[in-house]
Amino acid sequence: MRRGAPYGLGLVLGMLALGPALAPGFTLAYDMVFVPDPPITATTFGLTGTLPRAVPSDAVVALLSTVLPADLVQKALLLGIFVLACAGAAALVPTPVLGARLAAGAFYAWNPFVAERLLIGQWAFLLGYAGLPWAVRAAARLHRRGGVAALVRALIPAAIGGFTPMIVTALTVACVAICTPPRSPSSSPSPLRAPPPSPPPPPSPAPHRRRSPFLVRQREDRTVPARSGGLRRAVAGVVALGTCGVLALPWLVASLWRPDGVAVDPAGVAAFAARADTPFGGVGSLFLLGGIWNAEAVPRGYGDLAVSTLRLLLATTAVIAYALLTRSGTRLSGGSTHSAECEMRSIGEGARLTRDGRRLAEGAPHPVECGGWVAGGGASRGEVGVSRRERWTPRGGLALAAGVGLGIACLGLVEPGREVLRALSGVWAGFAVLRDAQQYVAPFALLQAVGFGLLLTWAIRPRPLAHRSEPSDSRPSADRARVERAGARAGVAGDEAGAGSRRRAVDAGAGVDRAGWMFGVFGVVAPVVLVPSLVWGVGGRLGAVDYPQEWMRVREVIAADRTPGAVLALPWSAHRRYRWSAERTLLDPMPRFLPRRVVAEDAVQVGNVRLAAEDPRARAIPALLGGDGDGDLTEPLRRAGFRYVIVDAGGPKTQNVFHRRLGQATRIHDGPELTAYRLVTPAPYTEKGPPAWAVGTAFSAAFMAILWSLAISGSSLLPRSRVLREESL
Amino acid sequence: MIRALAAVVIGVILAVGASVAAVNAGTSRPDPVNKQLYRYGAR
Repeated sequence: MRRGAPYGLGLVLGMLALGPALAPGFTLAYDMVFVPDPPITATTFGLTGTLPRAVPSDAVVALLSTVLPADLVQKALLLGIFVLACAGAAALVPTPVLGARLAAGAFYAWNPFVAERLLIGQWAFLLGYAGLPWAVRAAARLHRRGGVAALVRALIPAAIGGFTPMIVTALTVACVAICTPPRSPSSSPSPLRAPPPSPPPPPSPAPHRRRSPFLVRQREDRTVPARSGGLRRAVAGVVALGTCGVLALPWLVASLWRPDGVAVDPAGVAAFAARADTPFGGVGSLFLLGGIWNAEAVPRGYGDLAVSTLRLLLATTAVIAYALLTRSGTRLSGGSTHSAECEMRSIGEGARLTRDGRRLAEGAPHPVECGGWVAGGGASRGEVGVSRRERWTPRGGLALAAGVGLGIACLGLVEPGREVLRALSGVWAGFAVLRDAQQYVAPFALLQAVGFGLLLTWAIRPRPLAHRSEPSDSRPSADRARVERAGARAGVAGDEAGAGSRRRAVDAGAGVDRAGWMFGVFGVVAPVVLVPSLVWGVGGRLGAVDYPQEWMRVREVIAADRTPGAVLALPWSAHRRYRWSAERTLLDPMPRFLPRRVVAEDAVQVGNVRLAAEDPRARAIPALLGGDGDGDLTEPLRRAGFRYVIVDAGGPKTQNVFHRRLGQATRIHDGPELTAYRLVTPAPYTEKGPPAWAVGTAFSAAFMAILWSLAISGSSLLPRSRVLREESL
Repeated sequence: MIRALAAVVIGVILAVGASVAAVNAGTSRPDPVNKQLYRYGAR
């Protein structure tokens, strides 16, 4: 129940959001293009001249589709985004109150950012967004033994997503790793940790309570010389970035090793800059996690003044809650929250081993981390204690990443900022990743989710189940009864129930009054009701369709042909609005659909602005087509290495135009949705792409890193050792 | 008592906000007609 609830809530939210998109068929919208039985071609791995925007996401989808129908793979990925996002945020927020954790999960999985990015079809980016809380959690624990492997595992969603999710994630994990104080030197060894100071100061016992050795270590932490702390933080940052770099190798090598480099159109800076989609202007829209560049990707009814005001109130209180309630020593509810959870976790489930496998003395406190909290022990068995000194380690790092991300997103709102972005792109084309800057709001969304969860913890305010100084008989009778019932369900009774049953009692709502229950329900419901247009396929704008049968027939014919040569996709435009896909705008699916190199327009049009093409082979096509000329295209296309020409949009008028111009080609299919032509043996054409060995090595390195992290994770896929199992606690 | 009142007030605000948002989303004008068949989007 406890562990599964956030996953279950994520699944419910995903089903609610996707709705009709979960019907049989493919969901096609803008950048979200899935095809049946996707062929594995050179384009899949970024080996052609195109920018590797879909590397390695397309490769992963193609591989998964070899064992599952591609439409099921798509639905699993889309649902997985909601499940991962909800469970990740719930795991990150430092509270044991289930209602608050669920509220944080709902906030992170259901907000304008998710709605807009889902509408524009950027599922790969959303996959990285969903993995962001896990990555933050892992980055905050980088100093622990196995920390690097855990970070690799947490980065898998971003690694699959490709370059933009990985860059946003790298920014976040680097900030968290650098800002996270190194762990206490007296626990398990780590390559990132300096040796412990010696001799340790003797503990000074407090009356009526055994002094916790961990509290002493906490004090030691604060007095560790700054030079070693700073160096260790810097090393942690480098390690975090290096880990991201290894997993980014597939697209990094494919893009940096392009013979023609990366062409950047300065017009893209203004075209993809964030925009206001609420009454609160550009900054306000970004603060509310909206502000995507594309007005057509804004959910219906979003931006209404009344609801936007409520969302502004919610976002503001969440940010304030984050600032106030993640401070060291903050007690949320008489001390029965995060510290209680940590101690319960340490003493409740038999976790009586230290991370290096040593058995703790009976009743000794166990320093554990809980959602990033470092809490001191001090409670004896069966007590829910109060940590006197605690900190949520990702606090500063996540705040820094959110601030930097919000700043980047705001850059494009004003002309001086755009000038900066244009200048940066001129210096190095890689800075073009900052164009669609609203994406960098993702860490800010996570910060708000954590703040919202803490706010709910404060509002739900469960009463302490027991106080250290009180005998157990002095508990409130209702709480005691709940604890005993929870203990009985667990097979133990009364005072023998231990902290495990107490934790279950907290889950069951012990210590929570009626108002607390109401706050808990409101916390889960509020993110949904304040963005209602995300319901049911983002207000019906996402659906499922099948590819026409004639598409499948043409693919079979082309696949059976052994003569080399590329395919030219016409009309010459990057996006389509097919009748069979309910006229939803989508990227031309042909490059993913056909088992050959497909040359398609990759210059996108935003409003009346047409950006420059990036694929060098595509850049030559407009001259070859001759504008609006009506000359025969057969021989020029044959000389350019084309074997097939596909006309898949534009209706009969467009098809007739190209039919006249391809008079010498063989029409192999002529249907209402698509016409296909075959040219005689084309001239050889050598594709200018990154070397296959380099890209292959990059894929292998990333894959081996993931395999290594799984091998030592104690994952159920592989044998696990006891020590590592303890590590996972 | 104060917390209970606060919860009731928040519940009422949420209910009203949800109603407004749902009606707004349901009755808002449909997507703008896109006469340019091949463009990525518009600002």
